Amino acid sequence: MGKPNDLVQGTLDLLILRTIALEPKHGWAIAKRIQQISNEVLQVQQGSLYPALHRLEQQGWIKAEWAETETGREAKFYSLSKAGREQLEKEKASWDRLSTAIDLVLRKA
Amino acid sequence: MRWLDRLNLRLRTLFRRKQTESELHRELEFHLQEQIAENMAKGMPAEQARYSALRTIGGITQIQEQCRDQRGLHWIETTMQDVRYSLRSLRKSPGFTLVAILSLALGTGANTAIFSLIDSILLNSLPVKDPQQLVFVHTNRTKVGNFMVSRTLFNRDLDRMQQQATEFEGIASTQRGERLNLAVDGRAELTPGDFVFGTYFQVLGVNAELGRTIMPADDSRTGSAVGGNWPAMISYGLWQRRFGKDANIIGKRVAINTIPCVIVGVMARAFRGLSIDDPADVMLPAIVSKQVTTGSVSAGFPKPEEPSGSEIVARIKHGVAQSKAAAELTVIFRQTELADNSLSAAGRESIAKRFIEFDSAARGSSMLRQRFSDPLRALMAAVALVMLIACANIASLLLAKASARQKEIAVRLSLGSSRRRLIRQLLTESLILSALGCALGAGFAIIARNVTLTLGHGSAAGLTMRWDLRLLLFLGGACVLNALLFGLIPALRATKVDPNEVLKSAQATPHSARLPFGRVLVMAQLAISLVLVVGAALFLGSLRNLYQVDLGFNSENLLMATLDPRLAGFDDTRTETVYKQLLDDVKRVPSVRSATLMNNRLFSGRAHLSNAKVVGYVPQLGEDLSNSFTLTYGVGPHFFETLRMPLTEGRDFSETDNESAPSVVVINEAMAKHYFQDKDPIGQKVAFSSGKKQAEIVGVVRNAHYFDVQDEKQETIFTPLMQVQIGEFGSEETLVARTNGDPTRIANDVRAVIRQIDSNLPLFDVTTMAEQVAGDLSTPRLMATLSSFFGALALALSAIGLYGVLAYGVTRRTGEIGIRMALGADRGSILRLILGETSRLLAIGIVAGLGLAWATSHVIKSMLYELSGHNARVFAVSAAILALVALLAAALPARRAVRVEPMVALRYE
Repeated sequence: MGKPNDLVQGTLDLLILRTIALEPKHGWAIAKRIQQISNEVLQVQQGSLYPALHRLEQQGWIKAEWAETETGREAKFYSLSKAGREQLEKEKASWDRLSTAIDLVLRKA
Repeated sequence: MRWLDRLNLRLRTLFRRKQTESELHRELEFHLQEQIAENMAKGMPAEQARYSALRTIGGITQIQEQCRDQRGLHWIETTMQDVRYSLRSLRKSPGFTLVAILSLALGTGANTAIFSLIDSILLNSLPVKDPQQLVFVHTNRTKVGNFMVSRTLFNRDLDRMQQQATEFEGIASTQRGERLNLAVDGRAELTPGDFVFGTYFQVLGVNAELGRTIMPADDSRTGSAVGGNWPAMISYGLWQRRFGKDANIIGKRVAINTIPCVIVGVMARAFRGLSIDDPADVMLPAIVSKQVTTGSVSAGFPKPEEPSGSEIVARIKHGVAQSKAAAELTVIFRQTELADNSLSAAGRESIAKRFIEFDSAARGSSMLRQRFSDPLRALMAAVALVMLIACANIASLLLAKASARQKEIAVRLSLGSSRRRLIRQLLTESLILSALGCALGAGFAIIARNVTLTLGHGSAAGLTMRWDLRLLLFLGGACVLNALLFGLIPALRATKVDPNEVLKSAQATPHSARLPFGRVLVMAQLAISLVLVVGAALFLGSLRNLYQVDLGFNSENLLMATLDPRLAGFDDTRTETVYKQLLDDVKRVPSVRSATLMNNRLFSGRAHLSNAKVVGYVPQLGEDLSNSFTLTYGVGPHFFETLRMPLTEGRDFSETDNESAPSVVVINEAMAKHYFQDKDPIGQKVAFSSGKKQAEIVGVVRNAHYFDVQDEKQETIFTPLMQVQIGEFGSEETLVARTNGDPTRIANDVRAVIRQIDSNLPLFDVTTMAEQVAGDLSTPRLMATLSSFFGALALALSAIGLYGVLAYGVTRRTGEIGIRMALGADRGSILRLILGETSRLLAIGIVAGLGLAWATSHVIKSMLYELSGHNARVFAVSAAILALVALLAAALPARRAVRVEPMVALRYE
């Protein structure tokens, strides 16, 4: 509460869903992955990440499972559910629409 | 199936809270360890790596909190938290909690009790199909004396309406059978019963629980009489009670008033006829009504030209306007009656002016409803006001509590709690208080309601309290409304604090700068209580006036007993012998001075109206006597001597005024004045209905109250019972005996006398005249008792409220008082300080209350006897009572204020 987020909430959901689309990941890995792919531009705060994960789980878009990491430690792995996959497509489409629109405005206005 | 998974997840979060919490903790812990590992990989020393990781992550607790928020059903958890917190906080101040719950319980209890009476008497619909389409049919009512009387409809009118009317689904009639002597296998009991037309059950849309209903075919004289017996239906209750729900009851032979009948059906469970006050247990075809009421087959069948003596109920077709339906019946009624060739010209004119009117039959017919409808509304208003006062009280208590809690609230606000969350928490506390109060109130309600019924009606007459949906909704609604009423404003005000200010000052800051909301509440309480006190005083004054009414006879030392030999199958001759014997035997009982008979008890709500005419009287200009009725009592020998109604002229009745002697009557002064002015009425003649003998006036008796204590002087005729055709006045008579000393002492002697004459004689209602008079005053007494109770309750609650505000003020101002005293103020000026405040509150409360009472007292005007709703003395006395109570409430805080020791007070600061 009160802290400025680096990412708009809806965008974070989209990024999380996309990040775990290929294989299940735990929270730490999700944050690292987003940071890495975006060339350190997008910093995911833990204060936003975990509440977002729990919300997505509540909505039934992602599933959680306890499993061992490569280092042999117990971690909570998140993976996409069937509904989550559909949701990802929807959010991707709407993001595309939105960014194209903003792009247009920036260029032509 | 997704929702199922989600539900599962949510339930898990709710019920396996510990596990989810620890999982969350482990997850965040894992994240922390990864961060530390990364930091160390960058070359930080272990200690610094951990420290830096913690800093990057931020508040673990906040994250946990937010994750919890994200999980659904979080609100249930917080609500449970709030509930636990509230219970703890209520337990911490048991005095406050007790006062609040008790006043709420008294308030809701009174409200629920009165509402449940309103519910069962005023609101309940009959258990029939589409009740709103049902109407009672009658001719328009005109005022006769103190009664609103409609012209009787005859059987021929009903027959024609049934045959010709097209705007109705059906028309039926029902006649009160009163007490029927139902004999089953030689065992008899008195049962309330109705006579109904064959169409009755069709019109109402009521089915039989078992067997069949009474049907149109039963109206025919021979066709349906089952094997020479008449078909009878019994109520579900009677079936259960008397026959143990025997499924083979159909076909059972019984005798009703000695007439052989056979049970053909059991009525639907909830249905007991159209009368709410006197539910029926037995239903018989109307065709047999004369035989059953007289207990004699020779009475024959109802004739077309006889009064239908019953209520006519009709079902209007859907979509037909009531006015149109009534107009149709008016036409039929006029055609039918004008076809009667024996009518005089005046009679024709009168009928041409008559029309048919409807009363809604959706809720059945009920004298109780008519009698109690206004009183109940007034009482409902009173209890609602009491509730307001109780709520105001709790609101001010909560305000005081909240200001004691200001520090806690300030701390929580500064620690980041949202105001909404705090308000929610405070409201939860109010709701819990309210719910506890309402639960206890529901218990009070049952007691209060029975007390009310006993006070008002003498018996609960089949009106049992049912916890139906409407009542529960009312209770629940009242509960939530109360909580909002008393909880919202204190919650809003308590959370509107500046944490900085509160935390800086050493003491809780007083509300002094703001509108003194607590005082506004106290003034409102005082004003509302004054309204209730004025109401109570008005009802008490009215009751006192009623007690002081001169009844016109001596109502002390009179014992009454009602009996009905015909119910036991006695024929006319034997009945007469029984009464003669009874009078002789009762007179022999020691301490009985004289005894007589009468057909209807005085003040019983029942009376006979006859269309007696004074022979030779010429109506005055504009006077229409064609439809006039006169109150008529059939009485025994020595009636006026026994009741001590003084005769102004002529003589009392004696044993020689029997069927073989010339017919005589006694009239009262009111009647003498109307018809004879200054002439002597003695020797003049009175004619009852055409064709009968005329009767000579042999006496004039002083006016008295007969029908009810509140009536004006009614014109009344007394006629000797022995000269009246048996059965004309109904079949029961009441013995009236004047005694030396307490009449109840001879009650058993009278019972013994009656048993000696014949042990089968049904005897009911052995009471004294004083009880009968008191019974007639039961409604005014009920109003006086309950309004006094509510007034006292309101006063007590307001006193508590005033005391609370003043005591709180004194505590708050202890320092100020100390300084004043240290600076030389004497105790008198301190007293003036406190009492001055009280007087200001009181003055505003009194002015507002008197104004409110003045403006609203017209509502109860019709319930007051010879007392104006604006009686100045009543208003002054009420204001004085309120002032006295307020000063008493102020006395304790004032005493505490003047005892303040300056040194102690200043050091405390």
